[in-house]
Amino acid sequence: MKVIIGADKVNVQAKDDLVKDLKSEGYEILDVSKEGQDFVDVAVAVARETLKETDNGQDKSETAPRGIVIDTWGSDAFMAANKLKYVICANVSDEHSARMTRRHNGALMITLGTAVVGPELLKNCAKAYLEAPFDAGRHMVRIDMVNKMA
Amino acid sequence: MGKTVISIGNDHIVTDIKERISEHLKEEGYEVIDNGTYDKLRTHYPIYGKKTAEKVVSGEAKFGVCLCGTGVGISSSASKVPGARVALVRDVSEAEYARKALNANVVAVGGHITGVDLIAAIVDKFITTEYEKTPEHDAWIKKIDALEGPKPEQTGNDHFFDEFEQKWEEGYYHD
Repeated sequence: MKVIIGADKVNVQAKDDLVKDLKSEGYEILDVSKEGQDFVDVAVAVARETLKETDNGQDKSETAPRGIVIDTWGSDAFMAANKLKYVICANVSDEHSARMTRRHNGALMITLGTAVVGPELLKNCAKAYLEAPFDAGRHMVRIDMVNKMA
Repeated sequence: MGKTVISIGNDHIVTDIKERISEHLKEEGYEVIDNGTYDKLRTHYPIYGKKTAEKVVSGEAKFGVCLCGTGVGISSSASKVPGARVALVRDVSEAEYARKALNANVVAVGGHITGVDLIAAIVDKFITTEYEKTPEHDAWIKKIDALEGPKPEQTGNDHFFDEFEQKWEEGYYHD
């Protein structure tokens, strides 16, 4: 599975550590981080690339690419990413939410804040999200509604 | 001076939790607009995320509070309302940051993730924390606002989701 990943300028180390872990587990990584990026820049960069790779989020298969953003709070990159049409982004700080947001919301991407989650929890949230399937079924009506919105 | 108005919304799996938070806010002296849902009948979070955030953007309420299971569904829906700045959080510190740095106007919490007492503390902190106006904070907000386009057919339209509700009724969506 391809993982599109990015960090803002102050969280590069946490992102590099996660990239190393995910690579060792066989994930293909596309790092869209650029020097000097703030949380809005990186949220938008990961969102746009993940939209492109998934036919505007329609591909929710088990192997479909997914996005991960690491910044300081998670909630700020979340705020920016969800402004984009077809983006369903989750700010997570526990493994259960990370898994359920893929299963029920078909989340295109997640955000993780280093001020909120420590290194082990960050890694485990990322893995819980990447390993989870999308349940489709009744959940599709809500996703269709969200996708009609601006 | 009138009471500060809080707009609140939820999906069917956390209605009881919404009621606890709503009662708490009223006890604290706030006026609450409860956008539903009002019972446990299966429904769809975008309806309530949209209503809750629109009340804030229109000025009817000062802040919004959104609840669903993980908080993700209703908060991503609320985020699509032009002018809404939504923070999905699990802790008080995140809520405080979102107010101070991003002038967030809607807070979302997972009703199945975070306990009622902590949700109440998060909401309390959110609605009592002032935005700290700095050039950096203003610039971030401007950058976030620039990501959204106007959506006149969406705003205030109670029939915006009718096509999907009809398909739902007809059994188009099933597990």
